[in-house]
Amino acid sequence: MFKLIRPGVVAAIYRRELLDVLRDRRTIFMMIIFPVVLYPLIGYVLVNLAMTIQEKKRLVVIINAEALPKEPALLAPGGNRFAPNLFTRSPQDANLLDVNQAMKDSPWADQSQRDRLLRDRIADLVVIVPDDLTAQIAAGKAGNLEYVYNSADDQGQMTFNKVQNVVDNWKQLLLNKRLLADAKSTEYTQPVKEQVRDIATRKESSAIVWSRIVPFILVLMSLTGAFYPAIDLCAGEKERGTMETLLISPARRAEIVSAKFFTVLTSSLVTAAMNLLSITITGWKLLSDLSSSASGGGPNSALMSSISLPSGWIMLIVFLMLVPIAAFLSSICLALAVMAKSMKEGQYYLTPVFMIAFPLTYMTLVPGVELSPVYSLLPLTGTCLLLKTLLAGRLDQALPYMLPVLLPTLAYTWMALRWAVVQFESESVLFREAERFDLKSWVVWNIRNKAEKPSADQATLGFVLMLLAGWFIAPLIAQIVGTVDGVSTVTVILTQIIVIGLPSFILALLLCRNPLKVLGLNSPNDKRYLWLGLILPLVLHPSVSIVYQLVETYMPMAEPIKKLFGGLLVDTPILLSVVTVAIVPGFCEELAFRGWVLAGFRSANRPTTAILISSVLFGVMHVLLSAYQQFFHATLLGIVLGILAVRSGSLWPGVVMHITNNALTVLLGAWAANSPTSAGLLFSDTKSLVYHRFVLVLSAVLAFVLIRWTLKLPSAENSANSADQSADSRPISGGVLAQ
Amino acid sequence: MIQVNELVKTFDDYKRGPVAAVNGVSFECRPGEIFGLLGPNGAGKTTTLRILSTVLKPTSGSALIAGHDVVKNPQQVRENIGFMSNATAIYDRLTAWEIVEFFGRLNGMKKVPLKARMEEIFDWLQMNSFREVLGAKLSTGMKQKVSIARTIVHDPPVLIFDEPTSGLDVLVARVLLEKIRELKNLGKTIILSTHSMHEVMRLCQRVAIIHRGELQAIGTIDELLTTHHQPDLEELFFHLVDQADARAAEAEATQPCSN
Repeated sequence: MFKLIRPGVVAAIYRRELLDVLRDRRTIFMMIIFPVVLYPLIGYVLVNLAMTIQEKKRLVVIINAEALPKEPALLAPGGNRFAPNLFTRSPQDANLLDVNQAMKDSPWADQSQRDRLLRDRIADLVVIVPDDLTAQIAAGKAGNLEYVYNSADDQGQMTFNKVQNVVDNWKQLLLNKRLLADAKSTEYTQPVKEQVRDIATRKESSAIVWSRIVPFILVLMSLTGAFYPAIDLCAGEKERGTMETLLISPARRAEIVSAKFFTVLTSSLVTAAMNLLSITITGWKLLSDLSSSASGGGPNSALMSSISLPSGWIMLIVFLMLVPIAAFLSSICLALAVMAKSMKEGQYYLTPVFMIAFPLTYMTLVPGVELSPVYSLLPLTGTCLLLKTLLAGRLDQALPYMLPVLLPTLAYTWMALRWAVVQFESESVLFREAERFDLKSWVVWNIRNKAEKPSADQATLGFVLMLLAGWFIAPLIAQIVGTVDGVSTVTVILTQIIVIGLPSFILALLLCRNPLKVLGLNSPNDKRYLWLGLILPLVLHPSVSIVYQLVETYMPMAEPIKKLFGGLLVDTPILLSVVTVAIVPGFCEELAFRGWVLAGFRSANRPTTAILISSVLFGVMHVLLSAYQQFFHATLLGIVLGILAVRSGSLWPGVVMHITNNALTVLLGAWAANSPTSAGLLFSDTKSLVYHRFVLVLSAVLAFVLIRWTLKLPSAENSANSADQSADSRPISGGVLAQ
Repeated sequence: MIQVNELVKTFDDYKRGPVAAVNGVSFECRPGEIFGLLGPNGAGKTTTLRILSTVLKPTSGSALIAGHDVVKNPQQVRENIGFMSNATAIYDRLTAWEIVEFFGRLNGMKKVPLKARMEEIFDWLQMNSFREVLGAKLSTGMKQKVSIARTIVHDPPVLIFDEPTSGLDVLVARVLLEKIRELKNLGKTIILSTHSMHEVMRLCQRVAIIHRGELQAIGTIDELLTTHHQPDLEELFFHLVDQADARAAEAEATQPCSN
């Protein structure tokens, strides 16, 4: 893509797009005016709101207040306030709680009337004092105090909490009085005194606060800043008719996409930066206002002063990390905007983007979610975690993850842009006429006009059907078949057939002229591929086991899940185990992923791209239907199986390989358990099946030789597909296989 | 200069099945000639011309423009054509001058020659009075002039005009046609698609009548009138359209069950 880019042309388009954006009042409003005005406004509203909320008084009704002990007093002289000395924070808080005294024969004493009055919010809390309270206390016993309130009412709950606090302090005074009477010190009831020293400096704790808020603001604002210009520059141009003018110019598609991407990125960066700046200034002003108003040394000012403004170098980090976040979101917005044929359609895509972006960002707030190899692979989550770690000042933890986080983000951005370019090259996206879509005629059309090969959309449909079946039907199967100790073999087999195998098979039957050929159920172009399918897993197993170990080290499976997986095969005859975990899944998963999904993506992509997409989907399916730890080796396996399917032109070598691979896990485990001595020749640890070093090296050498040999076998891809593949299709290099 | 050979373009329609918008169209167009593509709305003119401008790919057949294949070398084709149609709008938020300058830059023109070329074009089309006016504020006639300026700024040997006068008032249309004629005199290869017979008679040396995606007749106007024994172009046009419709109705009647 980048070979084809002439900087001069990109610059010319970028300049024009930017001019267009800058002359658009709406974008200027969103980018600059909105943030500059919004936050001070929110600040004012917050300050005023805080004042009005603070001044609101609550009403507490005390029934039979005369029965309260006189010393120490719960109520202030006059009886319409609590005693100010009982308030922990400030004696002035006593003014915020009004006290009304009621007689025992007033409506308040009657339960049904009292409940109604509380529901009508005439009072927020009722305290009932029994006649014998003073006597009980004096006798060294516990008197009863009854609270009645409505916890479904926020004010009631808050009043209850406050009064409880006051009463707690009062109880302490009563206790002190008793201790004094018995000539015991107040320490008598406090055998242990704790002292707490928090070593976090003010700067550090404020950094933590910022590290939680800032990623959200950045994602929200860079998304907002990217989305509307992207829609305007793509769908909007289509709508205004200037897109065709641009397309008939000698500018290349990749150049147009790059220039539009840089424009969207610019807007995204400026919007996020403006928002951040405005928030910082407003926050600073608010903080200084509040701390000066609360400068009586109250606890309020302590809270406020724990949040200080981020220092200059932290701001620098934020702006640097903003670039990958904004670039990723810009590329996604751009790709979606190219797909939309009108501004209206484009707007529809905003909600799904938010729905996906927010959980990914929110994950950074979940306790225990910290930078790790898995999270660094997730878009947005990785970058936000990196940002969070940097903001918290933990440079030593952040630095090793710089590349693991930024490289995947770069890859996702590049993929989204690639997708945009591909869409630009496809005429249907640019000249989609507004046609009346109705499901019935679409289905009829697809079934009547059976295609030679499935399309990428239909492949995606197959994948989605599998996921839906996994979500809705798999539990049903489990329920009908019934399970003993979690999982039964029958359930697994039925689930594999119905959830994984069947959707693809039905789709192929309905939508394609020659379903068997589409699914690859023909013999391979060279029988030697079948042998390869048998030998390759044997040779690769030691090398692949390293992946298992790495995954187990960095992402250990939760114990219950591990137990569930382990429990599946315990007490199952070995043959049944092989059928359950090897033969049935081997066939069904191949049918679905190397059959239907791969065929669909091959119709629109180069074989390498199609193999990668189908492998990642294969990995994703394992994440969703099994455990996320399986993502890596499922994807790797998918790549090898995909290459085998493409080169042999048949599904069978892959089926053989898949079955062998899965069966190996069962058989090796059984072997190591039954005869540890002979297994000791291969494994240094027969329990967790860790290979000897020399076996690993031997396996790697053998694998290398085998792969070299494989690449010399005749490839179905070169012979059969040379006619219908586009000119730039390249044969798969050994580089992918060597992984 | 332009060679179109058995061009076919089909679209999939969920209701009607595959529809051939262009079906086996062939023609040729030489330098210094205005070639007319005459047909009613929906005849396949725009689809044909969009294939020539490389934004659509033909289902089958080929087209060469200035020696470059539209499928194999779309880049070179786009460098050698100027294309103007109803669908090629101009930017609202750029001035007339900026729009033309932008397309000059896209065509790889250097700053100084581009400026000289633009001054020349702005004089020729009398556009200097609205140089600094934003696209959104231009009248239809002014917009059309900007479009022409945009089309010819890189001085391409081949020019394609797809219904350039539709929706214009008589005065503006007259100026526009005059400019197209002047361009022909400069030796350009020009295709003009239109549904106005009047325009074809005034401007075109040769004409192709297209209807239902197929060429119904091709040649100089005089040749066509003689072969089809028609008194004038209008009669000829209706005669050919009626003929094609009758043939299509007949074909449909023999295969009523096809989708």
